[in-house]
Amino acid sequence: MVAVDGANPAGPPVIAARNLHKTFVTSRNLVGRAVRTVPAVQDVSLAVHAGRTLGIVGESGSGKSTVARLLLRLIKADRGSVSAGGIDVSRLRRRELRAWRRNAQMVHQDPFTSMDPRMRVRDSVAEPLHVHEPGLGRDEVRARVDDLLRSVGVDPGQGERYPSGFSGGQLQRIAIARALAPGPSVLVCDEAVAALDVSIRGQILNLLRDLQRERGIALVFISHDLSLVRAIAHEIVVMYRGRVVETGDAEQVFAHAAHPYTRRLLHAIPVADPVRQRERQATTTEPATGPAPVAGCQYAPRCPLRIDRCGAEPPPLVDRPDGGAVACFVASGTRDGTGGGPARAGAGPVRVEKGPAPC
Amino acid sequence: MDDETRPLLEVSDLSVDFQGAAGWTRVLDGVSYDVRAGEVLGIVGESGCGKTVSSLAVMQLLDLQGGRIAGGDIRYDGRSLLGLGRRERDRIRGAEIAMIFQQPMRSLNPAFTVGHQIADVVRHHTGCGRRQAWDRAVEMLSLVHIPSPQERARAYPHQFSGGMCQRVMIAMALACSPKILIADEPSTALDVTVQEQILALLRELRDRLDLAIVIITHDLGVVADLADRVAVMYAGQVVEQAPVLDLFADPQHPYTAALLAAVPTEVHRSERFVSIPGRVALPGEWPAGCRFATRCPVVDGERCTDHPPPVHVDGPRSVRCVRVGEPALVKQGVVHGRR
Repeated sequence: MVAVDGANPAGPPVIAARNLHKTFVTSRNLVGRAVRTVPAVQDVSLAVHAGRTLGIVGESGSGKSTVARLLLRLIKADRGSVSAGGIDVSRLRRRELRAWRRNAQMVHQDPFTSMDPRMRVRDSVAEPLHVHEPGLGRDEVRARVDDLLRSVGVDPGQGERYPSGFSGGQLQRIAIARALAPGPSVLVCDEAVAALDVSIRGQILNLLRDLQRERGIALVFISHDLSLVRAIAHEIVVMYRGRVVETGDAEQVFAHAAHPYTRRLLHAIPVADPVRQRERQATTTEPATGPAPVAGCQYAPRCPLRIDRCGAEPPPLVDRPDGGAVACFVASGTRDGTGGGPARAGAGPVRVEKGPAPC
Repeated sequence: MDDETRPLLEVSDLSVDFQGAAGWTRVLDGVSYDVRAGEVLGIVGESGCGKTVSSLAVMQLLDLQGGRIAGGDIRYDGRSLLGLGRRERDRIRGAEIAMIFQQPMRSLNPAFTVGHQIADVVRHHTGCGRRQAWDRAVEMLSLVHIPSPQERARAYPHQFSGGMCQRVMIAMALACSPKILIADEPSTALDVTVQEQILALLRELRDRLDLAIVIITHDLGVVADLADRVAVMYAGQVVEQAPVLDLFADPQHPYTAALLAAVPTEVHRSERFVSIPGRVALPGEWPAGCRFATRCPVVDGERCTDHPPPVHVDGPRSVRCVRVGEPALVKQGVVHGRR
């Protein structure tokens, strides 16, 4: 199945999360009861479709990597569910989970730490095949690994080498080959190009996009770099302190960011143009500081649009006319609890707007 | 030359070797740059190009890392820093030239309060009393806009966020009123909204203290934000040097042009990302000719591969490329790549 870039997603999502909650315990008392907890992910819902790329953006502590781990069921959610192809992944038992895992694979930030330094890279790529297709013969595995390496632009002859013999860009290609080995329908890339040099980054992004087109894979692209996400993602989820503050079509979010935090993020990235960047500086304002309200919007202490209500209750994700959604009383026009779009009860999967699909 | 125009720091033809398995390997090769009071020099390049090594050399920290200066000179305020005695070297390092690093958390000692650590630096360099040094520490914390500096001076590093830690590092670096601050990727480990504030702080300090800043970064956005002049490094050499506006508007070296083109600013998701094929030649595998030749889109056969390219100097600009200024480059869209 080939999904054309810019096409609207057809059919059900490949993977969808509903109302995910995850709280980490950071310290326990003598009898093992949690005394300090961090709500890492709160009420996050999203959906990824075949051949599409969902970008998750946020700063450190926003919960974006926790969402990735929840999606892949590497950790269990406290509440909420992850479903994929009609299966409720959160209910799978160990053996079923293992079989399911071949559908969803991950590419990490630094290939030098995600690949075993004492294994030939060929064997690293073959490892998921041994796990998921134990019936394969030696020659078949060899042929499959050769194909995988070729598909990511690495000469199979180099497979006998160890990770230390590769540059970061080459090794990240091999890490992608390993992730592709079990034939996943979803690939989660957690800061997969953040450790690479600018001149190499484009190669890996192009590769991911080519692979997506060839195989119709759904990509979840997690990054702190909004300009990168804009360039690769179809839809964007912006997270702040564990909550989704804005979602929508990537171009829409960039052109008409609604949430004050999204706008702040967009403004904070320095543009590689000294003339424009120096104009932008003048408008930079120091954000207000203070503790985040326990009950209300987490962004309220830094927010220039703050109203009284923000400190009292968390703003729900409200649909916008252009198809996105924003969690802000002011931006969504629901300051007084009436008007504006319909509040999403718990927010369903991220919908994709019907707006013009740029191609 | 009068004081207004004389560079505070002059690095000339500096070469550095590092001890490797196969003996000494050249990692920095004939690097020259300078910086004046109140000026920001941006040193930009990819990993392994030698941008950090050049600043370690300026800070005389090479021997700790297993490196040595193999040639060239480093002059501070007209005086060579090479061959100074240990005492004099220690005085200049910190009191005249200070440095901050990428990981502020790792640069601070977790066992002491930040006020204590800043006061330590002050006492070491000025020999003043505890009380005075503490007051100076509080003053410095307020200079870098840490709220309620009196109380925060008594806090430990783990009680600060990453951005606040970098502010503490800047406060510590500037506590003895150095004239030059070397900032090695000062905002790389920080969130973008925090980076924005640190960059604003550096701009403010440059203006208030007439500080010379050398900022080392791989991020062209940071260079565009802060730098007055830029040195672009590739494989141990400076390949292009220019005032920041000129560099971005009209890159002359094919590497600079490619680097600028690789920034995904206006890339649409249906377009290809621009990248440079191949990878940077590592120290020890540098070719005889131009080090960018194997990746260069306009490589011109033996002209480029057989001889080291000459450095063309034109006023404040210099370019290390044999083909610089050739109309063919402009026609092929290599330079002026951004339009």
